[in-house]
Amino acid sequence: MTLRVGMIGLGKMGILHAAQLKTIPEAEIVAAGDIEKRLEQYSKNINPDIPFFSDLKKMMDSVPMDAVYICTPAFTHFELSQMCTDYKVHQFIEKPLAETFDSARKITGLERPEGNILSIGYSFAFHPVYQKVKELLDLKLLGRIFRVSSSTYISVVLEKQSGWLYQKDKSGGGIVINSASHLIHLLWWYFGDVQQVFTKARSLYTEVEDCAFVTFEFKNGVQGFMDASWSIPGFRLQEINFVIEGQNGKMEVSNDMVKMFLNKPSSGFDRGYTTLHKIDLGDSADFFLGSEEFNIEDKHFVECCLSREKPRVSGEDGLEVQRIIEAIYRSAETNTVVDVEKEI
Amino acid sequence: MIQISKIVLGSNPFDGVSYKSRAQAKTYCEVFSEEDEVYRVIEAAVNSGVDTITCAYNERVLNALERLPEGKRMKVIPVVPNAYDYVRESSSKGLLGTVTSRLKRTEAFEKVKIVIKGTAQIKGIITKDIAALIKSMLELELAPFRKFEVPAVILHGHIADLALVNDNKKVFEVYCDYIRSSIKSEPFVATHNFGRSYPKYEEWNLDITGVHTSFNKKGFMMRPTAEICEQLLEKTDKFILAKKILAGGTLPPEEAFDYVKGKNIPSVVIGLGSIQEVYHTVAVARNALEQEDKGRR
Repeated sequence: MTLRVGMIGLGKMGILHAAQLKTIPEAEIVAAGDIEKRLEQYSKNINPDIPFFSDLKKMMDSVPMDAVYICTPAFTHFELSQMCTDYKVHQFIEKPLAETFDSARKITGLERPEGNILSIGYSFAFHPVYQKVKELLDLKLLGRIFRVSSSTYISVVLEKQSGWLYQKDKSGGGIVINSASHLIHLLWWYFGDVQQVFTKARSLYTEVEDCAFVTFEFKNGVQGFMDASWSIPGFRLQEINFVIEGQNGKMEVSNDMVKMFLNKPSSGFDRGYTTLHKIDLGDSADFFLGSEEFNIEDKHFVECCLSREKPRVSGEDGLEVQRIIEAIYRSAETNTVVDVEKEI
Repeated sequence: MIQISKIVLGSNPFDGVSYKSRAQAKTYCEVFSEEDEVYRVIEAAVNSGVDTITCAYNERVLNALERLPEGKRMKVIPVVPNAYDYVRESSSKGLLGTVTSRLKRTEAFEKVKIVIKGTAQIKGIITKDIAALIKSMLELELAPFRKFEVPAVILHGHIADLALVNDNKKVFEVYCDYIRSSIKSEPFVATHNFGRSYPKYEEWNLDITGVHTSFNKKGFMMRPTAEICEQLLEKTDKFILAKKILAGGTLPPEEAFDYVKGKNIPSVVIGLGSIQEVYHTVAVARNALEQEDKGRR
C-alpha cells in the first residue's frame, strides 16, 4: 500500500521532507502547494511530475491524498490543519505545532476521525544519540535523577535580521520556540511534565528573544536549567548538550556522543566511564540529506499512517511542549515563577 | 585522463567541522579562526608532498593558499555551492529571498564582471529558467577560485543528492556542461548516498568525471549500506575521490588506510587539524596508497 502525500510549503523544510519521502517506497508525493505563486516554476523544475497549487484548497479538492506535510510558518498552522482535517488526511506539522499555545490547543482539539495521525516535527527524537539517551534513561541506569543542565546553541543571529522568523506574531517568538523547542521536547520526553519555570530572556539583534536562560522544576522532582542562544559565535550547526545527574552517576550528552559515569555497574554497563559515539551507534537511515534523523522521522510517519499506530511525537506531545514554551514566555514577561499546570 | 594526486587535503577542520565530536569542532573553529594557523597546516601538507586541496569558499583558506610561494602553489578543487549558508539563510528569508540575496552579492565580485541587473530580473531567473539559475550560482560561487589551478570542481552533496531524488537530470547536465565549457575543468559530483546515486548516474549516462563520496572501514556515511557501496565501487569507471576514510576521525590512520588497499580508490581526501597530524597521517596514507598503486588512469 502506498501513502499519497501532499506537500504544503516549499521552503527549506518542505523541500527536505519532500526529498526524504521520494526515497521511501511506501510514499508517493501527489501534489505540492505554496501560496507563493512564483514558486510554481521552481516546483516544476525540481519536481516536473508533481502538480503545483498556489490555491491550497483547490489542491485538496482536486488531488486525492492520504496525508499532508505542513511545512509553513507557525502562524499558518492552525488554519491549514483545520482545512486538512476537513479532508480527513493524516498530518505531519513541522515544529513548533503553532505560534501560540492557544493555536496549538485549537489544532489538537480539531475533531479527527479515529486512527487519524497527527505528528509534529521534533526530529531530535529520531536522532541516534538522543534516542539512545531515552533508552538508557528508561533502563534507570542513573537511579533516581536529581538534576539536568542543558544548553542549545547555534550561530544564526549575529546581526540585525528581518523576516517572518523574527516577528513574534508569525513565528511565536525567537530562539525558545524556533530552535530551543527541540531541546524542550527532549527534556519533556526524558523527564515528563514540568511543574514550574522561571525565565530570563533578552533581545540582541531582533524583535524577539535571541537568548534565554530558563530554570525548570519537573513534576517528578528533577530540577534543571536550559541555556539557549542563537547569537553565540562558533556554532555552525545546532548543538544540544545535557548533563544528567543521578544517584548512580551522570550522563554527558552532545550531538555526537553519550559519555556515562556509573558509580556501580548497571544493566550490563560497567562501573566508571562508558563512551558511546554517534558513529558507532548506527541508525536506520538509508538516505542522508541534511541529517539522518529526517529520513528516520519520515519513514516512521509513513509507517504510522499506514498502520494507524501512534507516532513517536504526537499532536498531544507537541501541545505539551507548547505549554512549556508558553510558560517560559509568560515567566519572561512577568519576571515571575510560572506554575505550568495552574497557569497555562 | 584526469590526474589528481593520491592524497588530497580536505578543508573540514578549517571550516570548524569534525564528525568525531563537537568539542573537536569547536577547537578547530577557534584554532583556524586565525589565517596563520590555516597557513601552517597547509604549508606542512605541501611540504609533505600534498599538492591539491578541496574546499568550499572560505576566505582564510583562500588567503592562506595565495600566500604559498611560487612553485609550492596548491591546486584547488572547489566544492560548490556553499550549501550550509543557503540552508541557514532560507529559514528566515525563504527560498526566493535567499537566492535573491545571494545573487545580489555578486557586486562583491565585480572584478570578474558578473552582471546582474536587479532584483526583478534575478527573481525572473529563479522562477523561469533553472539552467540560467544554476549557471549564475556557479559563476558566483566559483569566482573566488579563478586565481588558482582548478583540476576539478565538485558539486556539493546536498545539492547533488537533492537533484538526484527529484529525478532532475538537467541539473547535472547543466553543471557538467558549464564546468567543462566555461571553467575548463572536470566535473565531479559529491554524494552522501553513493549506493543510490551511482546507479542513477549510470542510468542517466551522466558525463561526470568523478564522484566524491565516503568509504571507510566502519561503513560510516556509506548509504544505504556499506555492502552496496563497495559492490558499486568495484565496477565503477568514474574517478573515486574518497572521503571519510578515517570515519570522522574515529579510526587510527593505520587501520583506516589498510581498508583502502586494493580498492578502486585512486585518491583520498583527508582533513588534517594540526602539523603533527599532517606528517603522521600523510606518511601512513602514502605508504598504504603507493604500495597499492595500480597505475589507474
